[in-house]
Amino acid sequence: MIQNSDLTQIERNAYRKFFQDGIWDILLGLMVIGAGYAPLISELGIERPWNILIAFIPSFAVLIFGKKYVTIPRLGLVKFGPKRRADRKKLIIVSSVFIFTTIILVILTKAELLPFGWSTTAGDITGPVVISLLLIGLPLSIVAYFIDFNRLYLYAVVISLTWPSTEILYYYYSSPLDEIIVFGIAGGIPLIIGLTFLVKFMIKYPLSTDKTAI
Amino acid sequence: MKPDKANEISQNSVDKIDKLIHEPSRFLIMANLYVLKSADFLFLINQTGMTQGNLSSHLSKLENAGYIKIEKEFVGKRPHTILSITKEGRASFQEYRIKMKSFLDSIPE
Repeated sequence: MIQNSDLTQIERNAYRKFFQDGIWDILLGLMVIGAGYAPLISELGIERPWNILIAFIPSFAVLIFGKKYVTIPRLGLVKFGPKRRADRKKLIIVSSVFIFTTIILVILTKAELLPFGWSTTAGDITGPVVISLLLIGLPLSIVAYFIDFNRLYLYAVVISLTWPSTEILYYYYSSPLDEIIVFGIAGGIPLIIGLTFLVKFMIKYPLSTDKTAI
Repeated sequence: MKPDKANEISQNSVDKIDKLIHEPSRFLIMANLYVLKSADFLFLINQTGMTQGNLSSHLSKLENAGYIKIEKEFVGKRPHTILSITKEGRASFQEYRIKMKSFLDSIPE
């Protein structure tokens, strides 16, 4: 009566509910915006990487408190089956490969062994575009595939464009204004989408007034 | 196939179907717990669209049959009722799927 595809759809429907709250979108948006104003924090005397970590505090606070006080009280608790756990392990392996690749790229850059540079010259943004796609776009797309979070594909494209955009904008605005503008716009997109999802989620799943279960 | 023979086959197949799982609401509960490792009461309400009383009633029947396990625990200060399918429940649900498919396949066009 019920096909395997129907059971898969039930499981997917349950899994995707946890992305309906928009909190992951808000987290990503705030992280990107934070990356933009992190240079301002370093002007207060806080050097890297602490300025970036401080800039990321609001995003992680939203994730932790959002899930605890907004999502779980409205949606409930669930543990997924072996397939999702297996996907998570694959994701860890793939993420490790990308981190390793990034380290290799940094080393090759320092040794000036790459055929293109990290910065633009004479309007050529080939280097930043290629490296952004490799280090940001591709990993985010793979994460999107493994965690079955389709909006992340869009965010992968948007966030990949930040670095080349700052390189172009640098010729018109000095640093850190170029970064604030670009990262602000790039982070604003998932932030606004996330907030929209969050409001809809809170309307769709009101808080239960009954404190007990059965 | 002669009509009497077809009726006999279908009647025999229908009699063997697990009527506890066959009820639509309980079927939905079992289908959800079949694909998830565990879920709490609130999550199942959201997944199935049932009222609290209705869901409680069906869960009790499934628990009495040994198909699901109900555990109550505290997460922080909030009580949670965690539901999971038992091995017997999983086997029964698989058997139900096979028998229903067999029954539906036996119905002539």
